[in-house]
Amino acid sequence: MDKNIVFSEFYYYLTLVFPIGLYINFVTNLLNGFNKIDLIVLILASVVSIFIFKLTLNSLMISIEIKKNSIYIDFSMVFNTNRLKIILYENSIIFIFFGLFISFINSFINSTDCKSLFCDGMDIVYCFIGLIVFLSINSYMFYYPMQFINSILDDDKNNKELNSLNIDTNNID
Amino acid sequence: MLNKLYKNLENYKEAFEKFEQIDRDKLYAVNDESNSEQLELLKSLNTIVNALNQFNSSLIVYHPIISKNKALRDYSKFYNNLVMSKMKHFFFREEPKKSLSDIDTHSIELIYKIAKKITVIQDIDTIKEELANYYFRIFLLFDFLYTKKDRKLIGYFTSFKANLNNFKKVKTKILKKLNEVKNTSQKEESFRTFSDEVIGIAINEYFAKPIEINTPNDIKIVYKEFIEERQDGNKISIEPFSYFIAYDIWKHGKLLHRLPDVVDIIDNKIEEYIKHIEQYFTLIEEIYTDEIVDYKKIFNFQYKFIKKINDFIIFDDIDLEELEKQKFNTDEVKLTKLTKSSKKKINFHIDKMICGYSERLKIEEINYLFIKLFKSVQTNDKTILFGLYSSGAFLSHMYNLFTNKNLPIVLFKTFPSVSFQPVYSKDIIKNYSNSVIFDDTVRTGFTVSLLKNAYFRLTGKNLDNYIISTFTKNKFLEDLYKELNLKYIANHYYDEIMLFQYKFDNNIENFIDKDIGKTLKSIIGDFSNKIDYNVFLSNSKVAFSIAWSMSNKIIEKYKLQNNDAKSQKIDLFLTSSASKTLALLVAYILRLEDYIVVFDSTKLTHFKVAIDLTIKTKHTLKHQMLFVKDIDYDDLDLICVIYNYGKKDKRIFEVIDG
Repeated sequence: MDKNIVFSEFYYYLTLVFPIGLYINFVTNLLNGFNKIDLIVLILASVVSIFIFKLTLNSLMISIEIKKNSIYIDFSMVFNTNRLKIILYENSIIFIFFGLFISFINSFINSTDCKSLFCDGMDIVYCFIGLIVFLSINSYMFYYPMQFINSILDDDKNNKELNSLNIDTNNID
Repeated sequence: MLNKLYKNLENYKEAFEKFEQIDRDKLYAVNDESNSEQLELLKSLNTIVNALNQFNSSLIVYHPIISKNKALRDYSKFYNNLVMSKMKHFFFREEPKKSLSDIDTHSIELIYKIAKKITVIQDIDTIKEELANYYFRIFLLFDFLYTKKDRKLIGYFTSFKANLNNFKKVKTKILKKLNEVKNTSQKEESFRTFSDEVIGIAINEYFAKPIEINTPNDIKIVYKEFIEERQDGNKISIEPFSYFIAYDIWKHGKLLHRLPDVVDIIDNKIEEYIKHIEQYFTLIEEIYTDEIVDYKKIFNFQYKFIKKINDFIIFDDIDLEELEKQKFNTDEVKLTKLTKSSKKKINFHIDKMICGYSERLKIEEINYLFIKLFKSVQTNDKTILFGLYSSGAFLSHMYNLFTNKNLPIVLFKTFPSVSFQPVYSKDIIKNYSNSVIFDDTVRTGFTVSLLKNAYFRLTGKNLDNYIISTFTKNKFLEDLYKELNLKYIANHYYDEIMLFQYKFDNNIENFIDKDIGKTLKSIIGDFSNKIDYNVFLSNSKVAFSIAWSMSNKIIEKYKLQNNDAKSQKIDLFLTSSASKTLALLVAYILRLEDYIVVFDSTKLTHFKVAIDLTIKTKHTLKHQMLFVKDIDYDDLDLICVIYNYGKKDKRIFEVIDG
């Protein structure tokens, strides 16, 4: 199988685990004692994170089709670097708000009184951990398509030279 | 859409990876052509070239940018066409040539990498650059030079090396020759002669002592010498750009044949073309100075001329259906079964079958073979027949004759370019839901896949609903036929078969228009010079009428010149695949009249007739006769054409004159 497709597959599955960053918040809660509300928030967060994942792909205009062990990926829009910057920026903003929102909901559900609503230092930490994880994964999402493209461009470096036109067909002994 | 493009790209990769894994040294070394190992090699090469053709077709149809951009599309079509036609003609022939060298696997991979880049890039300028690079490399990769030795065709995949001195040598020679063309009064004829010989002329420059070229036969000596040098261990590397330019000139010379016949315009075009070639050489010289190939510049330069050609080759549309309704009666064609039967070994090459000279197959037995072949072919009024030039085209007509139908025939030729004929066949093809592909033999199926790809490029759809009707296939290549819906009657060219005899009740006259001359005159008059004469071979009743008219003339002339009625032998000479189709029809009718027909004979003993659609400068005929058979044009007794553009000549019979 083409190494680029292996890469693509790798990053594809990697990005599937990106909701983990978000779940870190809830792991603490689960350890502290499981309740129904935690579960609902967990499911809600999963749905939202998958939605965001899809959104990210769509905004990149990467379409993926899985066929017979290989994945064909349409990278067409990735080549436009301006668009790439915007997408990175948009995603970061979306995540920060989303992270803070989850953190807020989480704190709200778990708070016994209003004082602790914004005062749970740990929630903010979790939120930032989530942010870092997300951004790393997000950068993977760009890194591998760019790797794929770079590998094509790298191949290209020498084939414009005159010598590259030399073809030596060997005689059969 | 893009996924399909990726899939085709990966198919190409799979094909060459498989090719790289086989032990080619062992396979090339095998001499026996029917050996299964040798066929294994042929199969793998066939798979690579097919996969590449399929990918190139899907670039034209599916690539988000190429499919929408006329320049990119036309450029891709032109050069894919050039490469595939070259591959078909120089390698995947009915009897493929034997290669004494391996193909360059590094180039196969490099082509894949460039293809991958073309697939993902969106920027038009970059695509132009890569397309020029891509097709140039494919062209070089599959170049195969060969010669005839000990009754076998052997050759080498060409070695190339960029070398300024060699480039200059070839450049000087080609420009000198082009200058001679410019200074003659017969520009068209001398340009055609030059373009036919230009590749040999270019190769000749690599010898320490170039061979003096005076006749077309000398070109054959050049090729022979070139192969022998390599067999002696002296590997000559060709300079790639000058060789490519030579091929461009060759291809343009062939296309010139298709330009509407207006002398002044053609002379102007030739002068314009010579300027274009001069600039082409200058451009490449700049590349040598820069040491980097500016493929974008090359693309723009090459495309400029492709566009000019495309704008110039325009033919008027002729509707033969209306003509058919008025002119032809529908009396049934009758065949009577004779009781005689025998087991015979048959050579299924169609001209050998028809000619009845060496094989001595009786016409009644030939009739039986047609009946046997056509029995498995089911058609309805939504069926179109694809006739692969020239045997397949002939079989399509025979199918119509034997079944007393007149299903439309779309002709398909692979040389000098891959195309459907008549030129405006796109609309015809679209109206039909199923098809029959006729050919006398299917070997690697390369021609059929060329047809399927051409259909795909033309319509954007896959050719699904079809059957292939053929006399023979090769039982050792079974797995290549998996996707082909093949109906055949024998397993090899030479096969033993039980033969019955069927008498054709000599009422072929019911199938035709006896006044075809007058009918055609009215059409040709209306359409001035812009006729694609192949159109007359797309309708069986018209084609048979023309052939019938020619046969009558041949018999008449023959009887005038030969009092000895015993021999009744006629030699037929042809120039192109279209003329061969017509000649086969003529030959069949002559056989019904008890004449013996020989194709392209080298003996000068019989009544000699040349057959073609049209004639003008006589160049093609003269050149072909000298090059293929070393026979002089002046030895011909009769030349039968539909229309004569050139001077009147008493040896020329024009069908339109009746």
